[in-house]
Amino acid sequence: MASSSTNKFVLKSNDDVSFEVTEAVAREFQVIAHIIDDDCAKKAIPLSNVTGEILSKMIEYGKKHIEEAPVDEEDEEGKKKLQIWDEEFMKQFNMEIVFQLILASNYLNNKGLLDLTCCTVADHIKDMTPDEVRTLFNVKNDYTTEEEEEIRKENSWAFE
Amino acid sequence: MEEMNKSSESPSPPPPTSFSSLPYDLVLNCLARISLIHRPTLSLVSKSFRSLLASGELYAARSRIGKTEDCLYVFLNPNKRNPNPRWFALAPIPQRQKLLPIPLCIYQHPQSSSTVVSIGSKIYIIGGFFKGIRCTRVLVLDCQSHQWSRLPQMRVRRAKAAADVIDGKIYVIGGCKSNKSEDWGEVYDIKTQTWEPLSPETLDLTPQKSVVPERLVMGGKVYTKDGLKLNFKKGICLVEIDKNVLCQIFVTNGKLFWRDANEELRGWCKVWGLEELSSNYLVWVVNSCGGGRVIVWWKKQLEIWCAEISFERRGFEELLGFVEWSKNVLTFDGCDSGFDFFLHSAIVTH
Repeated sequence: MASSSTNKFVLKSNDDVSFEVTEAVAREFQVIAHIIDDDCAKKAIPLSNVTGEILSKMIEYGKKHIEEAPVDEEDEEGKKKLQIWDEEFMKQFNMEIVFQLILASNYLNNKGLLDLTCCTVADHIKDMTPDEVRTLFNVKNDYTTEEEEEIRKENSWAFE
Repeated sequence: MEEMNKSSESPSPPPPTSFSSLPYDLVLNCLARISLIHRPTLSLVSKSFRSLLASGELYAARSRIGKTEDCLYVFLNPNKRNPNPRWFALAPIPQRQKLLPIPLCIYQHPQSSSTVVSIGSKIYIIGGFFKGIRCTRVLVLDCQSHQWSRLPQMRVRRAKAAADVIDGKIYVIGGCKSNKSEDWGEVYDIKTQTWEPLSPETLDLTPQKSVVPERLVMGGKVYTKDGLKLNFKKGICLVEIDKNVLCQIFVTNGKLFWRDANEELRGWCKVWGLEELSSNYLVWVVNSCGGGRVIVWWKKQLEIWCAEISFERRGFEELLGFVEWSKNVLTFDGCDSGFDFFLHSAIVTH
């Protein structure tokens, strides 16, 4: 059997974009690793829930994490380097793309990317005003003025 | 990565993906990562959003991804003449520390001598004196929802018992009138929700005995052992100053003292460097959520003050304290608490 660095697979997005990747990169996504293990990966692997645009970004992430993987648990410098790359990587996306990346990394089961994308959303939300969160979540303010005042009073220590 | 071929006809564009189109568990996964300090603002978004933030599901998601935060809860008695003690949470926002009152217990809360332990987001208040008699009662405060409940009663009435959480079970020993070895201790299994008796032969206390020589450490508290009887050394706080350097911290005569956990024979020494607090008569010390630190407590007329102290060991002889912050965290409403206002504390996770 060919080693995982030479063995190649083709991943196909739902809008018919194909990407050739090494087995190691393909295995970064658990769902694909299972398909490979079940020996069902003879031809292109169709990924019905992921667009080419998103898939290309996920492969870029997977590739980086294979190439620059920290040597071991103790490799703090390696971890730090990858973390900086992760942060830079996420900066290029607007929130809509981040949401699509969350769905896709959940679907293809890449825990690292799911954590990274969810953290990005959390960081985005944490300093928002209630109104901005309502817009993002598409929820209505269902507090009466009195109720809202009550909650502000309860939490007045935080708003001083 | 090679883009091998791109089909010429692209399908009609899907509707834009928004936060509200994420499945519920992914919404939780995102929100679970937001620190407690942002909760007050986020609670204003909507009613359902507020209950989501206080839900057990969000807590479970935070536990799963290892993003829970520690929070200090304290049980204070604001009025010595008409005791009506109450639990408070210390609000975790830097510069804005404040004691936030927790809804009163719907059951009658023992007035004194209970033992407090915590598991995750729950505080267990074990035994204690109730109308002057030891009780079998165990109250539970869920700090996520601030709901009160009760455990099945203990087998034996206890007050000032020693308690610890070992492998997710609550071990309670001593504190009873009886000298029978079958009444010595009992253990509560959260899964089966039952108390089982515990004899001195069945419980190996070696780890609890090794922290401070000649002493028994249960739930971070220090006890002396006299045969089967346990005596609580009130107010001693064990703090890990550096890795594997454990100190006992203690308040007496209004000042903060320390000694090495391993040197029981040496007397207590004053913690140096706390001149800024020297005009205050300290009454109590508890472990802080940040490892290696403590919170000291005192009062000024009707105000309750506390300060967080970090430490630095200078050689064998000196321990230097640094005041990280100090603040008036509660003002009592027109009643004097006396100096023994501090009853219990527990660190829980949110």
